Amino acid sequence: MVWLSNVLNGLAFGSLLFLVASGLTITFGLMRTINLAHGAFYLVGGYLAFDLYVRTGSYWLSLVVAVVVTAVIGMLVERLLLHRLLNQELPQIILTVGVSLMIGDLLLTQYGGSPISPPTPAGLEGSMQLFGSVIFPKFRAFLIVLALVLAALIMAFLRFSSIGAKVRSAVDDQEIARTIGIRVPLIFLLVFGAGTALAAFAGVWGGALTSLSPDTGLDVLLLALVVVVVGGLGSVPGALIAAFAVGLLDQFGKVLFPEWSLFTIYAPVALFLAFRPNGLLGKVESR
Amino acid sequence: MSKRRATRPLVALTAATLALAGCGSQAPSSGGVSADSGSGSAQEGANGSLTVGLLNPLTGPFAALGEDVNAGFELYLDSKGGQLSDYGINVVKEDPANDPGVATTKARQLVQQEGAGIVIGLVNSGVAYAVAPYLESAGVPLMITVAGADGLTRTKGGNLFRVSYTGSQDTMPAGDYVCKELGLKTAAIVGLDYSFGWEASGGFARTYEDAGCKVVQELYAPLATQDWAPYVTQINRDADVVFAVTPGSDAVRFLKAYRGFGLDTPIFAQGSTTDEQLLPTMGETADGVMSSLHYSPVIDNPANKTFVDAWTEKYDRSTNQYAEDGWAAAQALEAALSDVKGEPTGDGITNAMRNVSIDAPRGALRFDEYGQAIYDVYMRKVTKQDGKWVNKVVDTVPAVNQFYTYDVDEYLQFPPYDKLKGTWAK
Repeated sequence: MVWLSNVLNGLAFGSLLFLVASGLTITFGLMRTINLAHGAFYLVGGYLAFDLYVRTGSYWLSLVVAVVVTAVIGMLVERLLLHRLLNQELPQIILTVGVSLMIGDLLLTQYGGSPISPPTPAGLEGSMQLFGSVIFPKFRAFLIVLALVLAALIMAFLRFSSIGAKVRSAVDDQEIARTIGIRVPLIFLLVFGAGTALAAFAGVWGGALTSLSPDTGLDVLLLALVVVVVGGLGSVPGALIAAFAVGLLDQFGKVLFPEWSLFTIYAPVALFLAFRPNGLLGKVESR
Repeated sequence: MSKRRATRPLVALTAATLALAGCGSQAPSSGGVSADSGSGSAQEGANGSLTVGLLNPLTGPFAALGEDVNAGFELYLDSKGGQLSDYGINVVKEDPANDPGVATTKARQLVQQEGAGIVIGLVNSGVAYAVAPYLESAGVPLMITVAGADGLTRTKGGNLFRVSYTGSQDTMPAGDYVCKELGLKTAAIVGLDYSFGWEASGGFARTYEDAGCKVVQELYAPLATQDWAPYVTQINRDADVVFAVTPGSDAVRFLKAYRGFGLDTPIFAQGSTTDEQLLPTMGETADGVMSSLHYSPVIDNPANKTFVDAWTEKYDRSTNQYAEDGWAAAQALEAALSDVKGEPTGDGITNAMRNVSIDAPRGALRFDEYGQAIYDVYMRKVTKQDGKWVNKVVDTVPAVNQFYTYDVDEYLQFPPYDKLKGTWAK
């Protein structure tokens, strides 16, 4: 039954990767804006939730306030800095890396370099027994459900809501969207805010699983970038599949070839991208 | 939009990913920070003055360690009114930025521009290997306060001293202790996959097997492993004990996964795994974990009481080995300076350092002829005391040197631990 535990855990880690990657794929795929400060927003969410939880003791309040505040910070960054660099990928990279370094150092000054652990909601501590012999932490099991629900919500929102339709039109053809009265800059601001809110949400949950320190933002960002690229830019279902695939690859790579643990993720990814540079479900643009 | 244009963001992103991968777990920033010490402007004592260069990380992954070393050093200095043995001490801090090249430049700056008569610090051993030869050639003594590579203290009569441990120094007594005293006959080793992980694991494995017990498994995980479950679930459940070398935030994740997957094999760890910087975050998951280290904040002696009182008054949190390393370094420098007559030259301090013997918070401390500290190693167990998790001392192995009980010449013939990694379980 060890394999069951391995499969479940691969899925659980994949779920964490999806939580991180979902925000990244939205901003990146929809706005063509490369946000390498995503890992920093992940940290901000986790640290804020930790701080608020220590002060108030209320889990849900901490979660909501952390996500909202981070989203506001994200929107400020978009409005004041990033929107000037629309469609200029390299300046975006420099700018967002700069923002992420600044956030990292601010967190270091405020909270110190020792790792912290954001709160876990009541009821998810401890483990459960599956089929008698397999012991699995409840928190990890819940992460899988959370990722699936979140993926469904985002997809439904983009597909069925009128804002979703406006987002898609703004992305597909900015000029036409503007001529029919869609306020494209506002849409982009909201999309970026949603992206950073998702980063913060992931930070609270992911931080509770792995703990946070000012340098973990990069570790997580790296895997999330892999997920986004493999899944196909802007594709939420693609990111979900890619996240599960990377999670399972990571798990079984470490179990079967522990000496090659980094190789087992990056080699298959490189090979895959060589044959499908647009990723799993990336839009093939044909115009 | 043309197809070529559509792939542009992808190319840029891939480039950025590669660049980030190159950074690894460095960053968040690599700029240097230069600051004068809080102890005020140029100090002049009755015997003269000395500039001390503190070369400890203030940014990046080791910032928490470097800042505590600096804080420990300055706290001792402040408690002595900014003078050690009647020499006014001027502290200049530089950030080695976790980069051998930058660190060497900073060391040169400390010596040539600031006129530092001794350099104290260094956390990353790779950085220490780069800085040491420069200071050797400049004739400026170096006192290492964290960097643990065994090989740094293998030259007799140099100008390098180390108050902290070598990778294997604190774990060699543990191998004996776990096998003979605790009677746990088979061990699974879980370590981080880099030189410190191999040295600390190897030190344990050597004495454990020489005592007649058996290492049955070795697992090594990369630094900053985000998910420890794949390793934890592989641990051999038949082993009597799990020996862990997972310092830093990896310790938090390792223990969380270990408890989450319901393992109940006792854990014995290298002491940095249950460091006091981590205990508040680890909480219950660390309950009962045993470890070996040359320090614990609950050691009962007068020097430690002075240290703990001064520290907790200022910082309102537990002391730890890094703060003690800084404090002990200041004490060692004070003892050396009391032996220096007149102008504190590099050679003068180096020669005086060789004969230093102090009562540090950790207990008696002196240097062997290679410059490595000899000290007591404590067997500790994480316990809750007055609502706080502490490393309670359960046993003491006195005066442990870097070769433990082995004959020096014999020990130096052993293959290095990076070659022995993976062979202990065979």
